[in-house]
Amino acid sequence: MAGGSAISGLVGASVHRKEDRTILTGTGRYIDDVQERGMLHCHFLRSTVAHGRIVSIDASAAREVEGVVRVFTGADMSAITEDLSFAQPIPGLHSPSYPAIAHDVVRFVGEPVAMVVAESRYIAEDAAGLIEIDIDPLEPVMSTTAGLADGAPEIFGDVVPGNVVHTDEQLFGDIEAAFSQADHIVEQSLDQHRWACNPMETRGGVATYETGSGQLTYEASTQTTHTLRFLLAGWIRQPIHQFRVTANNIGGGFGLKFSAYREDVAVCAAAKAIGGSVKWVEDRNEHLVAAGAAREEQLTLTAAVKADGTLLGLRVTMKLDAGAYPINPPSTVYAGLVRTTLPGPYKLPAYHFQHHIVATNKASYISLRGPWAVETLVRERLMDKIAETCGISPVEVRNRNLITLDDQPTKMITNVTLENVTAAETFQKLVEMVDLDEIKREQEDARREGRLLGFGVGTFIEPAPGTQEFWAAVGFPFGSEPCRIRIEIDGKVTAFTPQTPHGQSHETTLSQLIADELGVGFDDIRIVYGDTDATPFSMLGTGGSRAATMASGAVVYGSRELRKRVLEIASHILEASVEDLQIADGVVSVKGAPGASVPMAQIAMGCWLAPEQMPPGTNTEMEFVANYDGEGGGFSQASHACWIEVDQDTGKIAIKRFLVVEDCGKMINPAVVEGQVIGGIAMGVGGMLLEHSAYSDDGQYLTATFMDYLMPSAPELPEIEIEHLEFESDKVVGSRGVGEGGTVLAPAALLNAIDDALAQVGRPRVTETPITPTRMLELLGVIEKE
Amino acid sequence: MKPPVFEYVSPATLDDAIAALSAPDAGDVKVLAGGQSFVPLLSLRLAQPSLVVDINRIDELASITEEAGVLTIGSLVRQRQAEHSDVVKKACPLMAEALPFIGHTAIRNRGTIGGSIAHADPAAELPTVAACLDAELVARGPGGERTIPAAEFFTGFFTTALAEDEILTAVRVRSAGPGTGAAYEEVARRHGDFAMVGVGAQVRLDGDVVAEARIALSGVDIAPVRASRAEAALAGRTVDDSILEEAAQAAVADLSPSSDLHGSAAYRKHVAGVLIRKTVATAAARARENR
Ligand SMILES: Cc1cc2nc3c(=O)[nH]c(=O)nc-3n(C[C@H](O)[C@H](O)[C@H](O)COP(=O)(O)OP(=O)(O)OC[C@H]3O[C@@H](n4cnc5c(N)ncnc54)[C@H](O)[C@@H]3O)c2cc1C
Repeated sequence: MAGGSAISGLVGASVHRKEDRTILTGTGRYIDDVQERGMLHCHFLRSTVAHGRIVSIDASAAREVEGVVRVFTGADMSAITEDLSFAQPIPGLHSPSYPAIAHDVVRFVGEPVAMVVAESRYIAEDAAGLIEIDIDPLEPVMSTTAGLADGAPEIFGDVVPGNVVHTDEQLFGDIEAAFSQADHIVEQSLDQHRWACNPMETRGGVATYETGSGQLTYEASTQTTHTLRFLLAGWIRQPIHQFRVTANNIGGGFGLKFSAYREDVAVCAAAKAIGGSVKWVEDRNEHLVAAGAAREEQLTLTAAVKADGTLLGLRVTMKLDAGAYPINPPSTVYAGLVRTTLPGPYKLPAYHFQHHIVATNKASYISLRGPWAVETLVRERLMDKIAETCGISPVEVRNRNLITLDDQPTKMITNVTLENVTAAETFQKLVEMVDLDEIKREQEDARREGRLLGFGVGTFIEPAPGTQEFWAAVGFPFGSEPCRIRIEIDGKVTAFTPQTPHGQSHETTLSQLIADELGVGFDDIRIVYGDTDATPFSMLGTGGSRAATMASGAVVYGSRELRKRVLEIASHILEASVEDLQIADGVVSVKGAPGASVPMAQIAMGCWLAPEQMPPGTNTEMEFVANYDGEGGGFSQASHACWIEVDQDTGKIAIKRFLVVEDCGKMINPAVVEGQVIGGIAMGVGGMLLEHSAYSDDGQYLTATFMDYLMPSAPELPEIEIEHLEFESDKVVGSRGVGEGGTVLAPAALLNAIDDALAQVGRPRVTETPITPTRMLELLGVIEKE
Repeated sequence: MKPPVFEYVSPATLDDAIAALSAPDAGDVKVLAGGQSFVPLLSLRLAQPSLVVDINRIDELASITEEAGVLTIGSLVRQRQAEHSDVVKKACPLMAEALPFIGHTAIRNRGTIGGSIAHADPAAELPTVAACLDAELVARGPGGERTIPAAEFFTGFFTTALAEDEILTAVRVRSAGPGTGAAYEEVARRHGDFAMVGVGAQVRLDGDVVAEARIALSGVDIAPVRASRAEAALAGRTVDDSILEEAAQAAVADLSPSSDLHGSAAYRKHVAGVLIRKTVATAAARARENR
């Protein structure tokens, strides 16, 4: 690795995960494991109507049930809380505020209409069944098309006129000129369905209010303790200095747990009102219905291209189905991400992007692992269509348009500087690893036997973490990342990170970095996270694939500062110059003179207990907060290839082979990188073929259990082959995030493979997802579409 | 997703279980076998019984026997146990073929033969096997034992001819003799999911000619469906592509499946035809090997 992390061996090795002992032995602390003294349990009664006016609610019978402590209707809850508001000073954004529990209008099936707090969850559910609620149904809006139609019911009245949460268009370059010079105009559209995060641990939290001190603690399953704290504090009227948010083990998030939700407000407010401890663990049924889902967008792309396949210009329109209620971040961030990222690693001289974000009667649109992913999906499919139009191969069209390292630094048309971006190099490597002629031959042989094979590729860049310019273009801050590091009195190390790892292995990777930088043992380092009383502030927690660069940078700089202090003190003690000293296994010694040594523990003890006796002029503070600005940040990149076989009798798609060439810079832990890549691809494949968060036309939710919401399981997934390029930048921290990319790019390679199979039998391309067996037989013309 | 309050008993004998089921003050009683369908129903509060009678301790319901050309499988025999039974493989190859399609190993370790049949999910494998083979379902109630032919047992969507106070005690099928072959195929969204369409076929050959063909389908109606017209089309014929096509078309013409998120009606009809061709061809080939 260029740049000069002082590597003594752990960084770059597939060190066993620190997290595993706890998780695999079942000794973790997830929300359902939390037991507080006198803890009560709650259950939310939820609307069964997609859109309607609450006429009356009668909870008297529920209040009589033995073991019920309190029932909150919407009115009861609004008396002790503020409405949730995610409004931001964004021009043209219509962001309605809303109560924790509905008391007036319900706007999706699953919206909370009452909360029962009882001695057990069983009793709470029994009592909820006795609440009588009368809702006058209103016409629901179940698609962006319906929402934008003339005379559509405005689901938030004039707060969101015409149901348009936000609309905007942006022009980059001379689009008219591009289209007037075009040899071909290529159009491509896609209607992507809703699918969901579905972490193994659902949402949930335990709120505990101490009536004596007025202190409130909320232990939550969250990706961002600090943001949850500052958002909730105002809504629950809790002084923020009296409010602590913690997180322990977190069973996955995928972007879902980045926001604060109305249930969080209700649980905290109930604990305050009752003066005790209240637990809420969302069950899977609630989760599927009410937690929100992602990815419901319709895009149309029109490209101006030269006869040789060179891109001249691109017009894009996007409609995004936002569901009913806004959450964090504002939906303009999603639109900004799609707009800014869509040109990807390609040269694009002119670009026009227009979006409509539309409110509908569904659960909220939320972040899901690469929330901008549709840009890669539509762009990579467009590239294939351009290839077909121009009579060149999918490989050739990409080679003619990709930005290579030699072209950089350069600017994307969306005003983002690209530097050290190796998408083209990953693509080149991918192409070297596959025999395209052989693939063609196999396809022809298969067709002779009546079988149908498909092959697809794709490439992309991933803002992991992205750059200042990138986030400015998106309209979201790109903060620096802090870390507090402490050398303890015995020479061991504690680091406090604002990351809230929930599967990303930060306890392992950050420990590897500290071990190498400070010369202490991997097991002598503890990473503390998930406690607003202990960890430095960050708005982001774990999200946006920041940790590999940002959290790593913070621990590297923090470790280096402490190392400097230790060595300066040691140089006095050992009477040697700092340059001649080394630290290994927690012992400072003179290089080449192993006898001359002093344990770090001895230095640390002196610094903590008797700083005045330490060498004069040295810095004896054994704790330091580092802030890392990302050195400009950067991108990850990858290329995927996907081989499929389509069963023309049943429409089932088997993925025969999946190849990844990825470059996330210096890998801190290759096993962790591969775990993220594999998991990401599994999620992307599942999203395209299986997962569907579906509503009926009248707004009923159709996939409320795992019998109907189909997660990918091992037999549905191929072995995934991974090749790494590790581009060496001149940054101190050359590592980039890799958690989201698999989910972003895999759908594109897969759909391109499906389109390739369809083309071989003269059938049209996919325009709608998911690709169920029924849809596949419809596309093949075997059965009629209903 | 927490069950409502209910009383629970776990008798050790069939008589005690029937007594509990038929007690005058029993209210809404339900039998608990492997719990693989029933416990989720409880958690979703789709079942709200006042009393649950757990039959897992009743060992007399848990044996597999073959006598005088009749295979008897106790209702409490675990699906996994039947799947690995040499007796079942030989006497009822269709069931042995069908069992691995039920969920996953962990589910079959608990799920019982009788539980699946009593549950009568129209997409399930074992009711389809029972219908295909004209199995006899043995039931015991306060009035004693009776035998219900499969054709009368499955009365609709999750409903059977069992009375509230009856326990399904066993499934009986005639042992498959020489010259018989069986095949089971299904299409599900994922490995282990309930089938969108499943087909069980058993063919007995006399020389090269079909002496008897039995075909049943799952997932295409409110209960398992026998493809009688296809069976008739095959009888007395030699199995080749054109007769397979004829049989499949005859069967499919009678079907009117409904659509859901996982498969459209057109899809189910199409796949039913595909699977009939496939299973009958395989069953006939196996019958030939088994002469
Ligand atoms: C993830 C998953 C996947 C599954 N996939 C499939 C699949 O692909 N195919 C499939 O067929 N099944 C599937 N199942 C269901 C499973 O096979 C069940 O085992 C089976 O349906 C019921 O058997 P059981 O012994 O568990 O019965 P239980 O769940 O205990 O009972 C089911 C019903 O039958 C009644 N009952 C049970 N035994 C008797 C009896 N002896 N007399 C009278 N009534 C009785 C009960 O009262 C209840 O109403 C799946 C289940 C799960 C959880």
